[in-house]
Amino acid sequence: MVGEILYALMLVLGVPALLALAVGWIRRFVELLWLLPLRPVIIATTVLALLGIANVFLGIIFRLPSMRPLSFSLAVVAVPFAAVPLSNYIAYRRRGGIDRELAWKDFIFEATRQEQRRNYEAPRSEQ
Amino acid sequence: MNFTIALLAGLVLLLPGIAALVSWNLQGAVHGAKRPELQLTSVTALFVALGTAVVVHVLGYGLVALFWAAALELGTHVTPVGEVIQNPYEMAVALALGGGKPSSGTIEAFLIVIMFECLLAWRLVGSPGLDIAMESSDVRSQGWVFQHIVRPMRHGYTPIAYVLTTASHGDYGIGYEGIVADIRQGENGELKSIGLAEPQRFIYQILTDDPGKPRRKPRLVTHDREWVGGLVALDGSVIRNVVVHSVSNDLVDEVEETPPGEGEAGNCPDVALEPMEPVEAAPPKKTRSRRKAAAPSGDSSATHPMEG
Repeated sequence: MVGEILYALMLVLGVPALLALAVGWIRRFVELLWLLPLRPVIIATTVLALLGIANVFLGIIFRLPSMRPLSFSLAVVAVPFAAVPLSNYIAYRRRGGIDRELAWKDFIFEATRQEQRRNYEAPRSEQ
Repeated sequence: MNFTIALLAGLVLLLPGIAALVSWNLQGAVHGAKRPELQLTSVTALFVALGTAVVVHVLGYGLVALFWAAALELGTHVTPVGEVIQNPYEMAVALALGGGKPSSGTIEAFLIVIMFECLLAWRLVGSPGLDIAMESSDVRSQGWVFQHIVRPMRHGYTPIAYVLTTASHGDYGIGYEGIVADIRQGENGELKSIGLAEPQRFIYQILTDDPGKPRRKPRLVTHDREWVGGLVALDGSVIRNVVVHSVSNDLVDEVEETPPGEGEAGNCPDVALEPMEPVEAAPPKKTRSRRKAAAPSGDSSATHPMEG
């Protein structure tokens, strides 16, 4: 009886939670893919560093051997959630002459749009 | 595998590509300028759908292989629960080659993997990154609509259109001026319809002669500007021509903040977002046989019509 209730709870709570995690991961992963051509050095460095840190963390806390499928897959799940905001923050700190009014969240996209806007010239009919 | 199942299996494999196409078609509505949706029967759309499906399946296969290897390793640490689920992609290939019977759990896992791949393809096309990467490319083949309406809007400009319609009476016709709210094009890029927000309506006249000034060239003049408001939707069949100006949003905000009466029409000839005071015209000279029209308002915005 208790086992069945637990099984039902696991289905009702676990499945939506897994679904939400998967959807969130897809959003972050796609964002990481599109950020890569805009800031390749920052993104590549951040992702590799976070993979290494995640492997070390899993090895210390859960005693998982590093660079094996289990630790690597857990790192692949966790890294996009951290890499996107961290990359935006690093780019924000290194922003140079870019408008300081931009927030650090989504900084890379917004800064690129701003640069495109600055370089854009309206058609000659603009008054 | 019989033909029916093979057909369904092919559709399922193509599903991420179709999801990408649907996402692309929905993105078009955001720009306010619409072309007909990409049909799956078009060669371009089929190529894009197949290419996207292949890329997403390769990525999906890599991730599934990684997670299945991780699950096997996890099984050495904890007691496995439930039935053994085969790698979905290996199951799909074995089924296609006619070998083995897949379990229901493996089939469910395969369908879940396809569903997540569809989400991935949808998000890949719907991401703001694609807009940024394709910023200067007219990927939807919109032509002048992209250069003069879509792209300026994206970069902080407001497109204001002056539309002369075919509705006419003698030398007079009806025209509209307003912010472009919606514009639709046909399959060949022809203008199907245009919607103007907060429009002004005016009467236009082409003056071909002026007895007082015989050397003066024919010109277009406007009269009786009237603030209509709301939205006017003009079908392509009634549009004679369209002139589009891109005005900076900063200038638009500045004009909107100017109290009525301070901004004369002559000072801002191409920005008409508030009801304009009628321009003082020379008193008409009445004759017995013919009453002449009022002197032109000299609106410079309609002197260079563009074919729509």
